[in-house]
Amino acid sequence: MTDLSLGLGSYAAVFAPLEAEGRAETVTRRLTDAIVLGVLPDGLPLPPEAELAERMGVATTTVREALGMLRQDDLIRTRRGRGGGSFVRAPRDGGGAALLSRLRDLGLGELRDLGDHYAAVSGACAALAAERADSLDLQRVRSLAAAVAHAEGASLWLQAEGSFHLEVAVAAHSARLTRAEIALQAEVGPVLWLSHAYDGDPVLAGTRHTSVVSAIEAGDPTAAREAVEEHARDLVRALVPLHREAQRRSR
Amino acid sequence: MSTTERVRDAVSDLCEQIFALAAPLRAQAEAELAVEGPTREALGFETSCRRLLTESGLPLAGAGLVAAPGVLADVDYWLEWWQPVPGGPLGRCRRLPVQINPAASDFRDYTQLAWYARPLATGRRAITGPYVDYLCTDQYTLTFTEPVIVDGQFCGVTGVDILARVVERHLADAIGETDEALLVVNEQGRVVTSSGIDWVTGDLVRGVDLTDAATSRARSGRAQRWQVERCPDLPFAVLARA
Repeated sequence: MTDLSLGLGSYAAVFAPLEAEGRAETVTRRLTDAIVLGVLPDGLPLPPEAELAERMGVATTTVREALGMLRQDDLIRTRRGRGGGSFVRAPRDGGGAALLSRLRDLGLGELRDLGDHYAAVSGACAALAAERADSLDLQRVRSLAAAVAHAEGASLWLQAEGSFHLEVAVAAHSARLTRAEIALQAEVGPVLWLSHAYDGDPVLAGTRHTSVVSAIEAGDPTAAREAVEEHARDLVRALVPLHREAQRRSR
Repeated sequence: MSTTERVRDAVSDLCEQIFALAAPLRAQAEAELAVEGPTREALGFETSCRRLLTESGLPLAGAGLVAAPGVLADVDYWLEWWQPVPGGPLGRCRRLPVQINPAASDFRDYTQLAWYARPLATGRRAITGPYVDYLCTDQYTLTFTEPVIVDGQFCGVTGVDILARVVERHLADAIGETDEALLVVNEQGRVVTSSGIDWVTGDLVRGVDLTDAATSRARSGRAQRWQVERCPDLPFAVLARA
């Protein structure tokens, strides 16, 4: 008989304790990312507490706790009375401090792992796009690659970067991989933002995208996959010195 | 009538049926946008879209109006797009939440997407796909759109989404069971649905010129000739081994 007391692979995962961190922290982190990355722009009214709780599937008290933390971090403002509610407040430093502390909490191994996951999904998308893209797909991918090169500032660059990789997934004609890419972008977003804002970005500027586009155009799946994977590895590599610096400062 | 012709007619019938279902949305949009300074509140698409999505007899994945930037007085970009709630009680629909702030990092400019850009450029109805629709259905989809014109001005598009798998099932009877490859493709040569085992939905038949019988390459790399049967006035054709 199998000894079920041992932590064995996926069986153990089924019964692993739920939520290593509190739900309020999870809600706070998700909203923090959204505010810093500009998904929730400055001045936007947040839905009422009860609606947020229902949509995120948590208790109203959890939402209240999370909003308290966001208020402390000066990422929302709350007004009472008629026309009141919580309003998004874009961070004055552009969000660097909030994202840096997130980066510090992430181990370097986890950062590398996130890069691996991103490389696997985006690389597979690029390889399939090289096989499947038609002339309309190519046109979209090409114009979005050009938009990345011209984007000014970390937030617009992130928008352009995300749109480019999304369109490569679309050119792969895989709905599942496109959904995986969208889900990953939410996680990779902060990393990309930081690498752009602090690294000033020589590795990221348009050259990688050009080689991805030419490989897709040439119908060369191997080259397309390699170009994207290298791009993902460069991103992680660019963040290692920043990670070490953030940890050194917090000691 | 040959199988190819039967499939061609089935594709045409389905497309005309879908455009006929969507036509009232265009009339409604043109009426509601004709007022001075229309706002989101003035749009009454919930009732018409719910009826379309739940009572039309064809399982549609979405329906509504996508406004041209600047047409509405209270907001720049707007999708008044309704979808059936998956797994919800029959007849439940919800308006699709979409990022409409152009400064947000997850904003995607829909005016650049084919289902919007083509009716804008041509002034005519358009069929887009099959494609991965990351804005609305998140699935492999075909979108049928028409331009909304008020006083000679383009004001956006109305239309419906239908999932590729629904189209596959709808055309299955006409295609029948055969080991021979019979493909319905769009203008790019993208397979919409098929018979046989070599080609499936989403594959790309390269080198197919939809104006003529043309040579394409099978996956094995061998040159393969296709007999092309165009669907009149539609961006589709039926391919059979020549």
